[in-house]
Amino acid sequence: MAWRSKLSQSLRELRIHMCQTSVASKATREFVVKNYKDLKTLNPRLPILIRECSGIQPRLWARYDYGVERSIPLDGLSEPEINAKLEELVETAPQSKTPMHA
Amino acid sequence: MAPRCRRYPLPLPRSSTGSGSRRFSFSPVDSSSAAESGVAGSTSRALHSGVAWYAGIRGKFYEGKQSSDFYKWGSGLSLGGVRHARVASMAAVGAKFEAKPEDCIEVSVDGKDVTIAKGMTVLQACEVAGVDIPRFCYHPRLSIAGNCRMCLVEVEKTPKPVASCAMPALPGMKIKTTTPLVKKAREGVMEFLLINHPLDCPICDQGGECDLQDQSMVYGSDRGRFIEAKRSVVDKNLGPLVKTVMTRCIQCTRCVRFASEIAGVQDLGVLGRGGAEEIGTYVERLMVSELSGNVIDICPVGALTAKPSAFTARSWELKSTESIDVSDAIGANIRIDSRGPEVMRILPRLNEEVNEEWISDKARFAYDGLKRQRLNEPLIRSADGQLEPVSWARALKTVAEAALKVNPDQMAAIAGKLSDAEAMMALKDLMNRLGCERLWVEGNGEDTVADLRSNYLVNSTIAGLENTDACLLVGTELRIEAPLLNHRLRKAVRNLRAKVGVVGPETELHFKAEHLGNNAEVLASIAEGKHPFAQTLSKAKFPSIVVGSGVLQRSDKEAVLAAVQTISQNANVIRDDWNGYNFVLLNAAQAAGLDLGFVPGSRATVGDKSSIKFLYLLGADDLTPEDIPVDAFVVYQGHHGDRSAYRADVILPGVAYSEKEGTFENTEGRTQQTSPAVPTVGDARDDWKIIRALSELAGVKLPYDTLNGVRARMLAVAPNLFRVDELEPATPLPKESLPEVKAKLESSPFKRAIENFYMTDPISRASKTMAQSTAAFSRS
Amino acid sequence: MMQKAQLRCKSRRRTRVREVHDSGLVLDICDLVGQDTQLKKVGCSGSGAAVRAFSAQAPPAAPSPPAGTPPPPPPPPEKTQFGGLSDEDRIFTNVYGQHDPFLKGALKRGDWYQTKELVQKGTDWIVNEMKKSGLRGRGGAGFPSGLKWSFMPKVSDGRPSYLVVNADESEPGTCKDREIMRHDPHKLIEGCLIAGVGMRARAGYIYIRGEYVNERRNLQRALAEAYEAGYLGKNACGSGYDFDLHIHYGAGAYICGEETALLESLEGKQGKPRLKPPFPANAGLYGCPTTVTNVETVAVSPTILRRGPEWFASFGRKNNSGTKLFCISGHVNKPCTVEEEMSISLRELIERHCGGVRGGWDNLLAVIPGGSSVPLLPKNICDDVIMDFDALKAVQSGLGTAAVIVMDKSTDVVDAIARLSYFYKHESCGQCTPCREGSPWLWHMMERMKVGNAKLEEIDKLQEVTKQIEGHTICALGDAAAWPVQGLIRHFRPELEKRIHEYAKREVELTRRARISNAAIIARRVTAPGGMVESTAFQLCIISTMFAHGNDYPWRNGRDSTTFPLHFQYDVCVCRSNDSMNRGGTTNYALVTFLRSWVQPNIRDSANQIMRTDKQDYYGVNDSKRFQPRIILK
Repeated sequence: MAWRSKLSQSLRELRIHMCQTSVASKATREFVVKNYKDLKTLNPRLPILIRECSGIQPRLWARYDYGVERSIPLDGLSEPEINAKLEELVETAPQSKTPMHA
Repeated sequence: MAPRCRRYPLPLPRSSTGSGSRRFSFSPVDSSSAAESGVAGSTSRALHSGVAWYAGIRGKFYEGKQSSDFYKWGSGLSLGGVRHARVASMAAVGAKFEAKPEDCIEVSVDGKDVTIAKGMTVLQACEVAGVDIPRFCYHPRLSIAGNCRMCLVEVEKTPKPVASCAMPALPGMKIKTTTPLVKKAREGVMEFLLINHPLDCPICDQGGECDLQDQSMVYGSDRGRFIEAKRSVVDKNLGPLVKTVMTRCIQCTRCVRFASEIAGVQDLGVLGRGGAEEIGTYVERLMVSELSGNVIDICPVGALTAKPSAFTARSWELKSTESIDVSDAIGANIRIDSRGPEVMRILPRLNEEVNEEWISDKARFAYDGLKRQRLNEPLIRSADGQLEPVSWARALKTVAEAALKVNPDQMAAIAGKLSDAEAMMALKDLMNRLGCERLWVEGNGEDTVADLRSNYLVNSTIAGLENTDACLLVGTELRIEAPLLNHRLRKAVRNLRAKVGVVGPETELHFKAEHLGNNAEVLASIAEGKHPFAQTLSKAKFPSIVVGSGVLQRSDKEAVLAAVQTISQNANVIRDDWNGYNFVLLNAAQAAGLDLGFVPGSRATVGDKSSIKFLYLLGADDLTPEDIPVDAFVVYQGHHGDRSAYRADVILPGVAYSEKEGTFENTEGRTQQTSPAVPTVGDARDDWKIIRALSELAGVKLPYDTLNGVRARMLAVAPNLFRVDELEPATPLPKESLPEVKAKLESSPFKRAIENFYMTDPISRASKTMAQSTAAFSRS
Repeated sequence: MMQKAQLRCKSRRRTRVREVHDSGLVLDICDLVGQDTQLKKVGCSGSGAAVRAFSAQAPPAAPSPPAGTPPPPPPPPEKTQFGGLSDEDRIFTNVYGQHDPFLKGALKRGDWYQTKELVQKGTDWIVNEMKKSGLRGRGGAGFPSGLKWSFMPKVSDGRPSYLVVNADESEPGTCKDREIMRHDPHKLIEGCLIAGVGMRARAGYIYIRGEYVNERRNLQRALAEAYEAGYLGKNACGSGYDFDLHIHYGAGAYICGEETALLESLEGKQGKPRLKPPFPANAGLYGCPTTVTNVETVAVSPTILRRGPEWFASFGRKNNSGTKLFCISGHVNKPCTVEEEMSISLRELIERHCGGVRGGWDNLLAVIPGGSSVPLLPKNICDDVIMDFDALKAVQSGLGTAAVIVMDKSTDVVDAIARLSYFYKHESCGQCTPCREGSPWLWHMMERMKVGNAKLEEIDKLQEVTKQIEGHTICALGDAAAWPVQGLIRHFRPELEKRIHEYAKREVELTRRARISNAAIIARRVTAPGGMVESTAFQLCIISTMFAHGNDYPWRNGRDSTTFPLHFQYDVCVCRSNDSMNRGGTTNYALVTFLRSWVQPNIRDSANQIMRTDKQDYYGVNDSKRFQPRIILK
């Protein structure tokens, strides 16, 4: 899982949304419990914002350079699938585009 | 057969997230009974309404435990200032009880049978029956004095009328409140109260909202029979906040009880006796408490009124706006009373879960700062170093040009203490789009990790801290940093005899606390279990730790937090049914800033400020001139010409909390919104709008044009900020899921986070009242 | 009579004690004097081989007919004559201090005799005996003592129980407890042990009023003696019961005689009564079960136990049994404190023990039969009233502390009651509204009633105010302030009316005199600037109200000029003016200005003086005596 250490290279910020209690968010929660330590240890400077809010759809948000964001809903996915989605977000990071005005 | 229970309004469970989403709750109301009552979720939003006040406070039950203590010596011994061996109605405020049939008794009020909980007083029984009993000395949050005698009612088979506030209701009691005996008794008391009360209602600031005035309409006579000389009492000096007109005092002793029971200061007392009885400060002291202004609200007459707003307005000519206090991170619910464009006074609103009905003096009195030092038009520093007014277009263009000239790595943005979430959201988006990742909120430190909400919130909830029985304070002067949270802890100490240990600067908390030391070694020894307080914590049923956000300014903050983590693990502070790990924030903007991720993104420069060439200050004033490189272009967007405005190259006038609709999150993670009470000043604009306009000029147009648009964007970043007036609890991760910390503790002592309680932000620094308070009360 | 009583007391040492019990058994007769040494031995050794026998020693012989035996003989016909207590039946044999008050003398008088056995009989026995004796509390309220003691918890919930003895004897006219404490302190101390056992208390506190210095010393010394002799402390009297006794000095507040205020004071707080419930038996001293009881009640208990409840119950009417210390003061020839049988007639009490009313019974005006807080009784009731709880209650008064205050016809009865009103105003703790505000008002009105400076309707107002205080307060002090005034109105209303009429007459006369002297000048001068003044009387009225109030704007209060208080005793009295006149503020100013500059330049000074007094000791002194405004127009 080498892509994990590339996280802070391609992402500026990672956000994980989930509900505290719902079934739909269960796998996401599992993912966080299992992987947060690894992700944070490999990317100490990357904000991995875990945001809980009752009744919301679990979702992965990635912010890339220059405020570009992309998100993936996670409901119905299993924990390995979430892992795969995260990898997808990392691997398909948009090319570091320069802002229009620069 | 179960007794037929009348459905009296049930006090709401503590957390108002609605049933289901709550992970834990201290309310002994089990979910079934809450669901049965049908009020738990649906009416939680009505909590601040007058109806809920009535149901939640006046008709509240004695907490089960306290009522069993009612006649016991324990409570009598522990109360210190309380005269009688009863905890009285303070316990009644806890919003917890169990409405089991066997705990109910039936009484009759004016011929109507009502079922009430055991231990309720006759007065509370009458409230349940919907009968209003006049009262002056009785206050549901204070101990029972029973001295005004206004609440006399008749109880069948009792020869004399009884004081309903002090008489426990007994099964089968027949209470009568409308008999001639009762009327006569109350009229008699009213006449006695009025004989020495001056007839200065027309010039009294309490006029129009005076209990005595109101009650005298019902029980007073249209003429007096008293023809002797009236008593006059010398006024007392309680400092620059509370004005006294002691001749108006009716000796109800509410203020004395408030001071000793709620504020925890022994500054007020009853002097003299008989007709010469006076409320006083014994030896001409001031009343020194961060909560002193609340005596104004509880005084039933005009004896204690607000000094700063004396003679400025009549209560009926004011427009009230419900809003949120931003002077600290508690987010006290307030009511802004305004007349035209001017804020005339600020009063607390009831919110059991946040501020009950109290607010701090800073929240109440700093409003005069809203009228001073205001920025009312865009300014640009001209070639000769002078700030000169310019048009918005020019000011924004100048900023955009300056921003685009600079390499994104050399840019930074700081949000100030009073920033609302919308402005921070817009600023974050703007800076991110410009490529800048260097962001932080004042008070949070420059490189704080905002990953887990449970790490930076008061997880026990503000009200939940009342339940703790052992608490360790780390690096915080709670009384100054969050007076209302300190009051909750004080309640735990008084009601549950919680043991409190302090690691940090030595400070007076107004309750019994053990000062364990002010260095990291003490913390380490508690973490290792060597210190005796470690045992105290592990033996406790509801242990808690309160960490001050001053810790974030330490270079070894990770090590300190890791030590706290160890302590909390050893003492089992975080369990499924209880999370006693609390991180107290200092400022209103902090929690929302962290939630929004207003922190440096990955690969952002941290630490060295000399590389900054473009600095955007959103009302941030804590940087010293040395922190800002001389060649940096500084934009100051804010409402007060405070410290940093002097260094600014461009000043963009924003609006203060009293003038805008802004989202704030308090230190327990509760989202609340301010409402505009008065119009904006001059040419000032809403903060998020300024940033939105700027983004367009800078070529990175933000995709929202309305306030709701910004909020929709917030939903994508921190959805909890969309849940107004609700508390989204944060789930802590197990220790195994957290990265290891390698940092070492340093030996430096914990510093004070706040040097002067009365002046912490641009508004309070501009306030004359706060300056006077500083002079009168500051520690020295 | 008094001398005779004392003589009989003196001769007591030589009399032989007879103890007659229901069974008719005549117990041992012995010479007390001869018994001295033996008693001492008994006390020290705890041996049961006493020569002198009391009922306590002989419960097996006590009549307790087994089932099946014929019913006991019918009770003797009810007593109708009371009084004339014989020396043998006196409990307090050293009221007058002729004997040694301390341990030696106390032993001679039979104190501490077989206390061990009494203690060992246990709580239930003691409480039952007290119930049987019919003893009612001697502190004033007359609550049955045995019943009160039985309210204490039978099983402790972990809290200790306390006995608190109320020795804060402050009721005006009452001086019975002080005689016990200074002349018979061991009776009290032994009683404390007995009562302590009766309440399952391990410690007792005697709260003695601060002014009782010698009493306190004697009590303290007696306490030390008792400890030294092993009567108190661990294993008190060798009974195996531990009991400690402490003496606490009050600081001289009347309210501290109220039981809950006393507890507050004992705990070191301001002496302000507590709300009840909880009653002290539930949560008293330091939140623990406590019984507060009067000195006399406690002090008589050992003797009752020794001589048997039946003996005690044989005195007085049913439900009012026992002997009682009466303190008779006032206009009698020989004021005294004397122990007498309950239900003695008032007249016999006074004539037998006090040498009669000064100037004979017919010179009697009124009697306050139970200390200052009960309503007084006029002579016609005193003629045949008997002194017990129920009889006095029937005549709308009370036995109280049995402090009989006698007033003969020379008394200014209104002044006397006004003085009591002053006392209650002064002693009100100020906690609750009716008493705090009402008692000063009563006093003010009474001061005016004293001279008749009032309107006739004000008598009814006075009565109503007392009714507004009575029963609406936390403690009984409010009632106590109201009752004397009510008694006065009930029995002496014609006197009050007479004074009001006389005063009004004097007013008219003085006004007439004023008119024919300086008043003419004033009238002329004043009319010029104000232009509204017509009569002299009106001007004078303004003068008085102005300066009596220290208030430059009397009209601001919207008062009717005819009801301004005129209690400052001017040489010039004031006539009522018509209403519309007084509304003219300009006129008032004009008048004052005029008076200042023309008639009496130092009026301002007088006014200042009054204003100052108002502030400093407005309630403390009678201003009228100290500051007479110098507007003298005669």
